[in-house]
This record gives sequence, structure tokens and C-alpha cells, in this order.
Amino acid sequence: MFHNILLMFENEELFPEAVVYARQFAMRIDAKVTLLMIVPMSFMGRTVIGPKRDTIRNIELRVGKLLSGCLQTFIQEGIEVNSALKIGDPAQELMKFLADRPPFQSIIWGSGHDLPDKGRGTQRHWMSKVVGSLECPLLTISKKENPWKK
Amino acid sequence: MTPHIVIIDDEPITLKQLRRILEKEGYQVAAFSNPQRALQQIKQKPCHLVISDVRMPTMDGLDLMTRVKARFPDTEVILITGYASLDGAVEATKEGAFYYLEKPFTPDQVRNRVKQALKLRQIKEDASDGSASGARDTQPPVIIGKSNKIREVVSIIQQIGPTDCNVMITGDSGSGKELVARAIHATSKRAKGPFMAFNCGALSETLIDNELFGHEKGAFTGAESRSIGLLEAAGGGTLFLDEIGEMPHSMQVKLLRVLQEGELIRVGGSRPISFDVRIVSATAVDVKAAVNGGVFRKDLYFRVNVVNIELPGLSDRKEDIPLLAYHILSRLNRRGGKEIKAISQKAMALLSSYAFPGNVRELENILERAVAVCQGDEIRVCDLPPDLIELELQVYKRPDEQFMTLTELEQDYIAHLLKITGGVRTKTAELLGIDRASLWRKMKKYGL
Repeated sequence: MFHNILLMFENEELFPEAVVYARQFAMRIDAKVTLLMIVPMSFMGRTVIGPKRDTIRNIELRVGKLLSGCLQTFIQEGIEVNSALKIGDPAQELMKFLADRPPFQSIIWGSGHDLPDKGRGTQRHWMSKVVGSLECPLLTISKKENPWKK
Repeated sequence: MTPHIVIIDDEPITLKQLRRILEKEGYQVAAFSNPQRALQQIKQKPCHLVISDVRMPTMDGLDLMTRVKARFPDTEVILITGYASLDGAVEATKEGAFYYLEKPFTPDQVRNRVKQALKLRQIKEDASDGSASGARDTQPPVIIGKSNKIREVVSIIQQIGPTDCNVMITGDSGSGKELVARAIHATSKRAKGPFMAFNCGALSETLIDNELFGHEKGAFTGAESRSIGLLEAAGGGTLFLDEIGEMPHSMQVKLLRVLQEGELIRVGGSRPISFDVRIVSATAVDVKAAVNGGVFRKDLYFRVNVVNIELPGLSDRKEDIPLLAYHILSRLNRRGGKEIKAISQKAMALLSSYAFPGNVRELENILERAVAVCQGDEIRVCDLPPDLIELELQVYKRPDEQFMTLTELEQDYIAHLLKITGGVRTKTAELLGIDRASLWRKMKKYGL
């Protein structure tokens, strides 16, 4: 009852295993799923979108197509699902998105088998910087090397 | 006990037809053409099953179902309509309806669905170890686990159960907060009183107001009779407020005032009515952060959080997984009439290595599936979900530790040394490597 899972992608990259897991997990705990695609883009020093308008439109078209294909797989399983696209500073966009929504119980990273870079310093991936301040656990999925098979 | 069924439909013919079918089967039936009256009756006398029309003039069937489910989650609801559509059916079942019956229906369809719904309710009652929602508990709920964390929880429950203090249970979704609330109620002096559960995140502000405080006749359109709220209905017992962190701010103000005064005024009423309930609340969100952020009222937080019980997630008590798994397995065997005796070593190892972000609820679901597909008398790896077998999960969590500030650390250390030296300041200053005047200033600053 009232569980929400966020399946988060970056840069139009979908990791199929993460999508499969999100679907199975949602069915197990009877949760609603929100797909969020974050596309990093810098608007520094600009007050209007201006020359980036065409780029943004193209991103919207591509991501719309990508997400709708993904949405279908959830709908087919009878899972309530919705999607969103955020373009801008990824960390900020994610925090703003989380602040506007009812709390999520789990966030699944959907663009790879692990967080892109867990290194130190300013070169770290934005997700590694915000992972400590997320409202709920962040899950990453990878394929087992030697699956348990009977 | 004869199952009690409430039927609601604005068409007298359907009502008569349903009543005749069900009474022939030996059920105790109450029929209503007005949903408000039916709701009133259900609140006073909980029923086993509700059969309701979807489209009615004063309240639609989905709304009625939400209200019934908020108060009596175990009561099954069958919705009937002449305007059946796939969307409506999906919506209704997602909201918690047992089945969506399309008009015209045959007596056999009704009989079968009713039998199935009542059987499901019976299973739910068995599964919750005799504790019936909305009704009086007969057996104390069992908290399974041998880990230190869960033993600590059980010990706190035993200590605070008999007291009358308000308790806040915090823990991730699916970790068993309601079970703990029921255990607190069962060990309290109020055990013979009612245990009422209410989900604050499920309803709108107006509905929460109405459900908690009740209303007087004529308070709003459709309020044809007086209705008592949960705070009154739980008199002498315990009121469990689930997801209290999601309660709207204006309702927090009202609830706080009511809890302080020990009196409430029904919606549309003017006379204060005193009540006597113990509040046990639960939340999966970080209420402390919500208090600091101004989203949750500090005064209400202190009022309801006299004692805090923090429930560990299943990943924090992995040693309990085998015990829990076998407990759930025996329940599922009883429910489904199966005789699965064991879980293979490999399957158990796989379960134990999984992170269970969905906690005990997820374990229950995984085992339910395994029991359904299992063909022998042992659950094997192949009976578990494929994603558990093929995928690996990594969980990143916010660190639990509360880090001390330098000031707190300094205060703590000075207090510690003062204790060691028996309060001799010269000796303490010497150990700290500062002069007596500096020590005196710091002691004054920290109130030592």
C-alpha cells in the first residue's frame, strides 16, 4: 500500500537489468513506479534557453520514445507507472524532483550496473555526491557472474 | 460465526435480488440504498464483506471503499456496476477491491465471488495470528526474530506496553510497524479495548478530519446522521496512526490541540467530547528532518514521540531470515493446504544474501510465489524469482551515525574528566592542558 519506487536514468542510457529488477520489485511490494530521465545540461550564465531550444526539443523527442517503450513493459504487468524528464544540473534537478514528490521507498539506478564513478574530488560523478543525502536507499543492479542455477 | 455482509445499491431491484441470493446462503445481510447510512452502520458494527454499487448519487463506490478500507483494512469489498470498463476494474482492484462484478450478474457469480472473498478474509485473519483489524484482539501478535536488534524491540515493547505513554515507531516500509503497534496494544492495560488503525497518508484533509473526529448530523451534504470518529471509537483502547509524517499540516495542528485537551469537537458540532486513547504512531519518513524542515510540527512530534521504537530493516537482521522464512512458510502451508517441509540450503543462502529493500513484506511475497510454483516438499532455487537468481543488488544508504560536533565533543570530554577527577578543577585543567580560568569559562559556557 502506497509504495513508490523511483527508477532513475541518465543521458538516455537504459540498463535492461535494472528495468527488469524494478518491475519485479514493484510487483513484489505492490508499488507504483516513476521513471525519471535526467539529462545533464549547463545553463550557466544564461537567462533564456535561446540556442539550446532545438537541442532540448530533440532530447524530449528521443527520451519520450525511449521512456514510452519502457513504460509499456510496466503497464503490461499491471504496474502503475509514470515518467518524467529533467534537463539541467543533474544533482539539483534530482533534489528538486524529490522535494516535489511524495517520498520514495527506493531509488533504483537504471543507467548502469553500478554508480558511474565513486572516486574522490570534483571529478566524481554527480550521483556519488548526492547519494549520502537521498531520502531512501539507492539500489544498483548488476548481473551475477555465476548465477545460481539448479 | 455467520458472516455479516453489507450491500449498498441505489437500485431497489438489485438490492432485493442480492439480499435474496445471500440470505439463501445463510449469510447475515444488511441492505442499504444510502451509502452514508451504510458507512455509519459499518462503523458501529464491522462486517466481513461489503458489496457496493459504483455509481450512486451521494457517494461513489470507490470513495466508500477507501473509507471502509481506511478503518477496516481486512474487510473485503466487491464493487458492482452497470458501466463496467476495463479501466474502472483495474482502478477498483488497485484501490483494494476484491472483485469488480459487472451487471447483469447471475446468482452463481455472486455466490462464488462472495465465497472467495470471505475465504480470503478468513485466510487474512489466520495469517495475522488471530488479530483482527477493527475488532478486539484475542491473541498477542508474534514478533519473530532472534537478532539483538529485534530482541531489543521486544524488550522495549514489554517495558513500555503496560505504561500509557504515546509511542512512535519508525522503520522502513514493510518492516512490520503495525505488528509492533498491535504488540504494544496487546501488552497494555488497554488490551481488552479496541485497536483501531488509520493511515494518515491515504486520505485527503477533509476525510482525515471526518474519520478522526467524526461529524454531527447535517455537518455537510450527505451527513444524514451523526458519526463518531476514530478517536472516540478507540476509547479505552489504542489508535494506531500510520504514516503520521504524511499528515497535512493543518491536521497536525488540530490533532495536537485535541491530544493536549483530551477533548474533541465533531465536524459540524460545538460540544467538546472527552476521549481516552493511547496513540501509537508510525512513519517511514525521517520525521526529525521533517521537524527541522518545518514540515512536521515540533510540538506534535514531542507529544506523540514519548517513546521511540526504531524497527530494523530486514537487511540489518539477516540472521532472522531463516526463522522468518520458516514462520511464513508454515503460515502459507496452512493457508494453501500445502505440505512444503523445507527450504533447500542453496535457496536459503540465496534468500540470506539478498538485500530485501522491501523488507519482510517482500520476503513474504517471494515465499508466496515459491510455494505456489513448488512441486515437491522443498523450496529450491528454481522456485525463487529469476531476478533473485540472476541479478545482484547493491544498496547505498545514508549513514545512520549521528556525528558529534566539536563543541559537543569538547563538552562531553570536559564532563568526563570532571567525573574522573571528582570535580577537582585544577587537576582537570592540567589533564586538558589549559589553565583554570579557561576551564572555568568552558564549564560556564556548557553549564557543567
